[in-house]
Amino acid sequence: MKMIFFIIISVLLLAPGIHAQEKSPEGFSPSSLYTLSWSISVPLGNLSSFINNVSPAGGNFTGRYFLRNGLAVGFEFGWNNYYEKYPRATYYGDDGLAITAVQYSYAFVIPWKAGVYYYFKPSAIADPFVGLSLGGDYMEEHILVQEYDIYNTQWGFTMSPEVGVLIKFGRFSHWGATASTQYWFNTNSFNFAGYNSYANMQGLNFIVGLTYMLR
Amino acid sequence: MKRKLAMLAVAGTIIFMMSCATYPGVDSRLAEDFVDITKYAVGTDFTQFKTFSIVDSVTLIKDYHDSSKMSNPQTQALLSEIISNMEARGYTLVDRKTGNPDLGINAGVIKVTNVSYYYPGWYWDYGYYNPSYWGYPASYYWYPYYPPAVSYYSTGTVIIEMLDLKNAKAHGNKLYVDWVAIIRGLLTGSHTLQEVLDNVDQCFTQTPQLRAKLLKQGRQNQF
Repeated sequence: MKMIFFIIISVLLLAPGIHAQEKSPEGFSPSSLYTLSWSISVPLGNLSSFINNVSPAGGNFTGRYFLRNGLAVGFEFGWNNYYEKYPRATYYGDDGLAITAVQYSYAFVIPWKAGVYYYFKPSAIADPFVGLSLGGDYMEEHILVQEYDIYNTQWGFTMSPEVGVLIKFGRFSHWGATASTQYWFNTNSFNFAGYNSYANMQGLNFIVGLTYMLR
Repeated sequence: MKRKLAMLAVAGTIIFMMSCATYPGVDSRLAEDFVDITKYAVGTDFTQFKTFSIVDSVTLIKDYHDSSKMSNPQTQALLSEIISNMEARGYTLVDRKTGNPDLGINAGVIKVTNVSYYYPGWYWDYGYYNPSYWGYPASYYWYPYYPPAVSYYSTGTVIIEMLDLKNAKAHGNKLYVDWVAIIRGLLTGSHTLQEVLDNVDQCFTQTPQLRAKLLKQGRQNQF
């Protein structure tokens, strides 16, 4: 974790220098870009204790605005659904209740973040980037047993470093594809009827999306 | 250009649809299997009861004022399974009228379509067993706890209720329902009688408090 931060901060500090030494290839450097993506998420840490299935049900929308020399700031709004089916088992409440049934665990994460990013070759066809975003995570966690829905909702702080690449569909095309990997963690915590508690969720998102760039 | 935009729109739609997949809905979950729900009155000492009696037929509740008593091999098998479980826990079956039972057990099957969500007890007015059946004509049933809410009775439900007859007078002539068991899913899929009986067993298994005598340490969960 510390290593990731070190790499990102180093890259951001050294970025203008690196850029100055490069020859600018043909093509255009976008002034801003917008990406709609599909996000596949691997639950890690305490989230994986609650749900261990990889979630293909996620997406995000990002906007990034270039300041200078590949340095950009932006926003990110996303969502990920996680769920896992557990075999028939008995669950006990503290009020004399017991239920034997199939159970589903379900989690829903909606991050709202702002971030800073560095694009290494803004005018090239393939433009790798790194970034770090911070913000809030709205999160729901549900335990579903038949029609019963025991759930918690909460807002928490979230942070996610990201590495990826933007590939333009042509040197002068406004369209491109973005692929990235994003590690995230948040401070959300949940407690179900005093029995199961989960805190500090983590995940690893693999993101692919369509990008539209403005000159 | 138009073709490009159309392709991008299709790709975007596919991405959006893939990202929106979610967990199965309640209808799908309800159809999966039997669900066994039990609740007992926390704090009740079930060892104070030694004898019990059970209804001689099973009430079939379909709609308001449309109920009937069923007595056939299937319902008798259901009642026998309840009796076996009670006896396995140390309770003695006695005659309802002459044996002065400590506990009374009602059993019903609910197949209604016009009730989507309710707490146990709503069927008390649907031709269910009147407290007078147990010799308490001036009484009424009472849950000494918040009863488990159940919806979608149309999936078919078995209800078993255990009444505290021993302390009826001390409870102001109320018949406390000290334990309720709800087995839901009779009408979903196809189930054998044995599966229903296995779920009756499960209801008792998940309530280890139901026992006429305390077991030695370490044997509380043995059945």
